[in-house]
Amino acid sequence: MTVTDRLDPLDTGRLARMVLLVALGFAVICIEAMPLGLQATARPSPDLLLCLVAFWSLRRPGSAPAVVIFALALSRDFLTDVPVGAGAITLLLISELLKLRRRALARSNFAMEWITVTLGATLAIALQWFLVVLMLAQPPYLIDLWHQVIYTMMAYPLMALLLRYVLCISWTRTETV
Amino acid sequence: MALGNSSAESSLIRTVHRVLLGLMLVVSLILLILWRTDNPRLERMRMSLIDAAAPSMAWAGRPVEFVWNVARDYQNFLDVYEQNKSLRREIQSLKAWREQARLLEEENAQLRALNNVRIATRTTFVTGDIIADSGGPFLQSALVNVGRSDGVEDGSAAVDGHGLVGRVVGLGERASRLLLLTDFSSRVPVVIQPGARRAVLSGDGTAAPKLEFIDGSDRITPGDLVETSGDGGVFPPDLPVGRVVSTPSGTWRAALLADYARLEFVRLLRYEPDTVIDVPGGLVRPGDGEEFSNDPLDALVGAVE
Repeated sequence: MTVTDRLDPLDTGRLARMVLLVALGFAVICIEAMPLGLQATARPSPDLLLCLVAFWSLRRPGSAPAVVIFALALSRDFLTDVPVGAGAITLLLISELLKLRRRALARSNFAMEWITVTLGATLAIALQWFLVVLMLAQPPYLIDLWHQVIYTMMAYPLMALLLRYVLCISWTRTETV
Repeated sequence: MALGNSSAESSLIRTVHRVLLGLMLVVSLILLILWRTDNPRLERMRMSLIDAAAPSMAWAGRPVEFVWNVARDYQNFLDVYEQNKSLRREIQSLKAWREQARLLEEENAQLRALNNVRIATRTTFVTGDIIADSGGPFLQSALVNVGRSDGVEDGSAAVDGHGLVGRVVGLGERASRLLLLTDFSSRVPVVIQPGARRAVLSGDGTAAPKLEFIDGSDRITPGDLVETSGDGGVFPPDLPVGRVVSTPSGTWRAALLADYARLEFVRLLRYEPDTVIDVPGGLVRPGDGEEFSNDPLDALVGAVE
């Protein structure tokens, strides 16, 4: 398989997976935005879009191009009131960082991947906080952000189970060999 | 040769990828700056996206929302004995109040009839379903499934059955965005009753927003009622907001009356402030129909003539 084959834009399988990623991304945004208690003390929802994008970028980087990730993250920023742009920057960076680490992660076990994604989520949320502070806007309480990191960490294995066993997305053979 | 071609091609792809990535980061930063400066164009863009996505968002959330509500109701069911006891106590005290309210209502009607009072009835409302919240910790806001086509206006007050919830800050055709009272950027002019002491209710991300700039803070007591003052003409006056509570640090806060934990529907009020007389009337002199002048000398000359 040459580079040209891999990047053929008319590769229907890849296109279908891309559409599937967008559909799942939108569903995940809707779940995050569900009004389950609007009180200030309500628990923040986990960053499910980050879990989905992290899993997808590691297993199927070909169908998770930066433009699609950017579009998904930006829609989430607009729909759920994250500072517009901050969510997009962070998700894009985390996805690219994970794509660079994928070969090493494919050869190790799931625990290693879980730790890496949790570190990625921590980095993403810390970066969002930093961008809000940089813009001289009022940042949220750190305890809320910490809760979000913990919930995201707990959500990742569930998301991984769902994608691995319901949608059958696993490592491709070239990575694990 | 083929190998050389493909390696040149992949290096070209890598370069394009990097340029694209840089471009997207720059666009994000520009959007972030526009967000910070409250750019109206960005808000319009957001509302048109929300308009397009709102129906499917409401639909997609239904099943999980249903499960969540069942779990919450089950929790309620477990406390049913305790709830029953407290409700009985509440009924006892409310019965006494009901009698008093009936008497007051009658007296009120009689006095109104005597005085020929005109009550301002310029507030109408439209009720909407809350379809989404901000989810994350950055902003306390919510989306409602009614918008401009239903008669909602920018700045409309949102109330539930108990008290003020927030106000409309983004308006689409079929959806609107509410900023809740608990958000960091929420400021509402209020009065504390009894005594009509003016204050500003400012959200700070906690369940009970702060009361700032209180006029005579030494004369308020915990339990006093906080209502909107109507200053600024955004909110109608006398909407109940909360009860005053004191904190160990000595600051005053308002425990909100609105039940944020069970907020499903909100009423968005369409309010037109009554006619405000804020400029002095001009001088009326004999011989109307002539050109009117504010100059006192002219008036004097007119009077002498």
